Amino acid sequence: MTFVRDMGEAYRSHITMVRGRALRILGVEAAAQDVAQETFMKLLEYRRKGISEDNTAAFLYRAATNLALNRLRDAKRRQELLEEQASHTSPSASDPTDRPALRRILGLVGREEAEIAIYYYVDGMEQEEIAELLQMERRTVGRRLERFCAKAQKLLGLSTENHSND
Amino acid sequence: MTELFARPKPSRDCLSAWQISRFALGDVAERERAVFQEHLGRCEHCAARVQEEVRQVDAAKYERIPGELLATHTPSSKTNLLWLWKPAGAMVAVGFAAVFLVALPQREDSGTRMKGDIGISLTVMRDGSTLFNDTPVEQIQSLRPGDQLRLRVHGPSDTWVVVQGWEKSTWVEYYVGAISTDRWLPIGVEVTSERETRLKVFLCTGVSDKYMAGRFTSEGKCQERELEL
Repeated sequence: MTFVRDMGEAYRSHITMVRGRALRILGVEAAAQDVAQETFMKLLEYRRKGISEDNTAAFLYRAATNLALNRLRDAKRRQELLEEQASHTSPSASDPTDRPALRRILGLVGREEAEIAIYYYVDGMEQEEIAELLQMERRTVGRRLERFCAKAQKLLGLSTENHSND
Repeated sequence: MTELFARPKPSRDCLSAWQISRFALGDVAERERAVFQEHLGRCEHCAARVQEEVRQVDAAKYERIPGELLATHTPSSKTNLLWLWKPAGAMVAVGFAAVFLVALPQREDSGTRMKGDIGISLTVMRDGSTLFNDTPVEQIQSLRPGDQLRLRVHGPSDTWVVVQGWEKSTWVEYYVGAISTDRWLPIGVEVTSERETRLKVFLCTGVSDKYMAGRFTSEGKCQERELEL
């Protein structure tokens, strides 16, 4: 748990994490770079209100997640992102986890479920770790993840059997 | 039982992206670090991810900071002392200045006492005007409370700078970072009292992170300059 006071230092030490985090969610470098800048502006804005985050890395990680998710939830931007990915990448070669489908669904389900799903499926965090980062009960994380899966299965037209998140 | 979407790690024990980032930032507790290291010793997948992230974090130490971040005043509730260093003239890359308080004297003998031969120059702002601009520290005199200083440390490009200040009978670390191309430190100093100011500036070579820089200074492996202003 580290508070990094100097903005320049906060930027240089955390930009890799923030940019990588946005890229994993969005899949397009230019969009990830934009989100990274917005994330640091968010930190600046937060501090200008006279509030200090206890843990700079955790603050930035969550802020980047939310800002990237905003883009996926914006229908027009989501479509642009998906088209951009399709034009630059070969899903079968570079995206074996079928991220385009996941991204599409993240933009369609509720924000709370989508956020948890990002931590679980995009970051590979376990439910306990998500609960700790978001400072919530593990059971709440589990419930939201279940809701996400139910909605995703519906959207994908899949049976609800044979899938687990425990 | 299968996952609805594939997850980015081969096993449940593997590190998450968040854990990898924290590890690369050195932001993990001792006990957790031991667990991570034990896993990294036997998992090539995670070891490669950590190695790549550490490489990128190191490279980012020299990344240009976006102008938008540098063009805004930022008070902080932790200290309420953050200010933007904006020296006159365009020769200095503007950076956010974490202000640390130091006390400076207005001694009769004026002048600066020092040990060591690291080249240091200062820009001094007083009441919104530039009093000294990139002036060798030896020539700086008559500082007073409210003066804002910025240090430029002249050293090779592959060195790290450590700045310490003397507070309450002990040396306190104010700044550790790789030296920038323009040699200006991204921190400022505000003069707050009439008491004597003591600063130590270290230049360390062969250093790859903050931990190592701190260790090298304590082991006397860095070039050192002590200032009494």
